[in-house]
Amino acid sequence: MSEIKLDDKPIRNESCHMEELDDEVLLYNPTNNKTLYINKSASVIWQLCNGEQTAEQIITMIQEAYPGDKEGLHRDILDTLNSLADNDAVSVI
Amino acid sequence: MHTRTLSFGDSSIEIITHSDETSDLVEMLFKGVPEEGVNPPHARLEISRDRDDDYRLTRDEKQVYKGDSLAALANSLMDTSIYNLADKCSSGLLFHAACLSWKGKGIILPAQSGHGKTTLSAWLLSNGFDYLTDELVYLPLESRQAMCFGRPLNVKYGAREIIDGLLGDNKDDESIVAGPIAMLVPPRLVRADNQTVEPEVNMVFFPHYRADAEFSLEKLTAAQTGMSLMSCLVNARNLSADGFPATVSLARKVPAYQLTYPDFEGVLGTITGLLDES
Repeated sequence: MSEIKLDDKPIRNESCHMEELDDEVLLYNPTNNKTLYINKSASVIWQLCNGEQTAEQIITMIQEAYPGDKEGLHRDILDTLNSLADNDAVSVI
Repeated sequence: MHTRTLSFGDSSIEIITHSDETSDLVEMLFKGVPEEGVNPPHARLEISRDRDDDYRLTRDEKQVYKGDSLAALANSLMDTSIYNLADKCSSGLLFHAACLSWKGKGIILPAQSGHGKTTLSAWLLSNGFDYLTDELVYLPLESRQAMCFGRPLNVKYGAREIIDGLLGDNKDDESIVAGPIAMLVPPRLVRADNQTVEPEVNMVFFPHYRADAEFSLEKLTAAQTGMSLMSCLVNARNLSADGFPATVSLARKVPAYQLTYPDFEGVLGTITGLLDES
């Protein structure tokens, strides 16, 4: 899958199941039988992918909630979105 | 004509045979598999001989195997039976895993083929564990009581030297079925007093044989355990939410370890030590 761009609107794969275990999160995708082992931040990003807001809006929203290293957050969130997309946990519309 | 029903979890199939030779084969292969089930059989396997005197295995009248090798028939029958039992099992978690019991405490060894489940199981059996299965473990939802698909050890030829060492004088026993890919070895040949039990699962070990590795035992978090268990869950599509919540619930309750080993040195003491302390 090609890289997610800032104006893409990522949408989570609703057939995925999410479970939190202490500080860790598992995301199971029955369509490819893969289980992703993600952290809580990634699970928040996944849940924000509703198909209505762009990747840039998601990044801005998280940057406002967690002020600090804006550049680092920008890069981390895009990496997470791409990783989720690579594993079919999100797609873009 | 003889009919043998196989029941596992909430799934049942029946196997029809037409000769003493094939009836005996079915009994040897599935000796540890119960006949009584909660549901009627949903598939019918039949073994017959055709005009060429070849063995013929059918599933609901569709041909699955035809040939003159009883061992190849045995392998095909085993694979077809397991597939069909797993296909309709929906009342619990069905894992691709070995299961053994140590002083009544159950361990499961979930892994894909080729990770050494059978060889490790045979080794543990020879050292006092009760062998229950090297293939399929069924856990009813919200339960840790293991029901195992009791079949002979399915030994790949790459592990033959090790197994021959464990079999000793029994290595040429006539009840061993030597097929083209693997041989089926009744567990009693490795240890005569092996007991069939339904233990509660106390621990999970994910085995990984690697000739070039050093022995290591890594305690897994619940999330790591859940992730690894999901990759061995056979009947996810039959279960609510693909069995994911139930698998995670199990992962929360049972301690699990990644076991990497180049040989068996250290394996026995490590596993029995953990079980004795639990």
